[in-house]
Amino acid sequence: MGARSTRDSDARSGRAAEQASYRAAGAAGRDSAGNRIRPGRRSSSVRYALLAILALQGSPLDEYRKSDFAPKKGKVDDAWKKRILLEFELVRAGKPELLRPALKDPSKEVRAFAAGALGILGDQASAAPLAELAKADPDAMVRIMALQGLGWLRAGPEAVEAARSDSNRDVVFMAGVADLHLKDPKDHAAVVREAYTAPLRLEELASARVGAPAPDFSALDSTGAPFQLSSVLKKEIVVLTFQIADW
Amino acid sequence: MAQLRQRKAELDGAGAVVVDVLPMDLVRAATFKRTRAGPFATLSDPAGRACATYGVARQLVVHNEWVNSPSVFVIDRKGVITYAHVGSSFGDRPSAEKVVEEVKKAAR
Repeated sequence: MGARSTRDSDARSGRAAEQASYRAAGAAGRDSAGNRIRPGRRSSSVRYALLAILALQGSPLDEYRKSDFAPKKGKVDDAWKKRILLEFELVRAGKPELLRPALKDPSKEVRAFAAGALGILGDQASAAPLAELAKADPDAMVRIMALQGLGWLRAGPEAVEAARSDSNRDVVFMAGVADLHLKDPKDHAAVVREAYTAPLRLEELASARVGAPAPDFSALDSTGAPFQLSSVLKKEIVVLTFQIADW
Repeated sequence: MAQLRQRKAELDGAGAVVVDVLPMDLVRAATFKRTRAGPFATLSDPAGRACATYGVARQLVVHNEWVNSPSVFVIDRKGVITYAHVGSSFGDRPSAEKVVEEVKKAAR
């Protein structure tokens, strides 16, 4: 009970900190005409109206929190499009200060996403909170992403070692992945950040169609060398297999 | 994957290359290449951009991770997609026989 209340309280304060961070970042600093809003120079009713509009609009993290995470049995819906677009937006914003409070969010999906994103952003200030999540978060999805985040930060060797004895075998697997990162001198977080450089647009999503030209894309091969799909198209028949994961 | 590896000679004979795309970083892609992909090319798509373009990204939670739908696309020598299967669950994937059959169709 005590631990739960503390967590809920932390989550509420985390949410407040996030909203405060957005205000500090200027997300709420101008009205629709682009004029700077000066607190104290408007009537309280106008201020309340502005706050209500902001609450409705929400931050990208609020939107992410509201997305429909529940996997549909035997059916994939379009919720993934919103999720990945928001993930691109939040990573590309490059503001770890907006994501740190989300490590205490009541939503496990938000905590998991924030844990990975802070690793991608190379936020060393998040190393200790990520180590704590890797050890103690009640949800395996969060412990996994905290380990992934620690791997990208190349931090928290004690937490990674402790996770090798986790009761969940998926967490144990990710502890092995994080350990590979700890031993690898390459900055893989920088490589992942590079993959987020260009914005992702809605019209790009699910644009592959039978009977239509295959959409080109670039990626890295397993040695880190650049690969462009168009370099093999029209020379060979290509079988593209999208692997579910690597386990 | 293991089944498709066993049909590599037939795929080679039809002039097909297999490219595996993983929604993971290079550390995980390199391990996958070493332990699972064998002779096939393995690509790392850590942000999921290619996976999203092909409509397969972030669709399932399996083993406590958001992962791709298991999916296969066959692209002919004109660069046109001739076959697509986007799985709706972990086990919803075409057999190696089906993939080889579609490759042979694309080769005609």
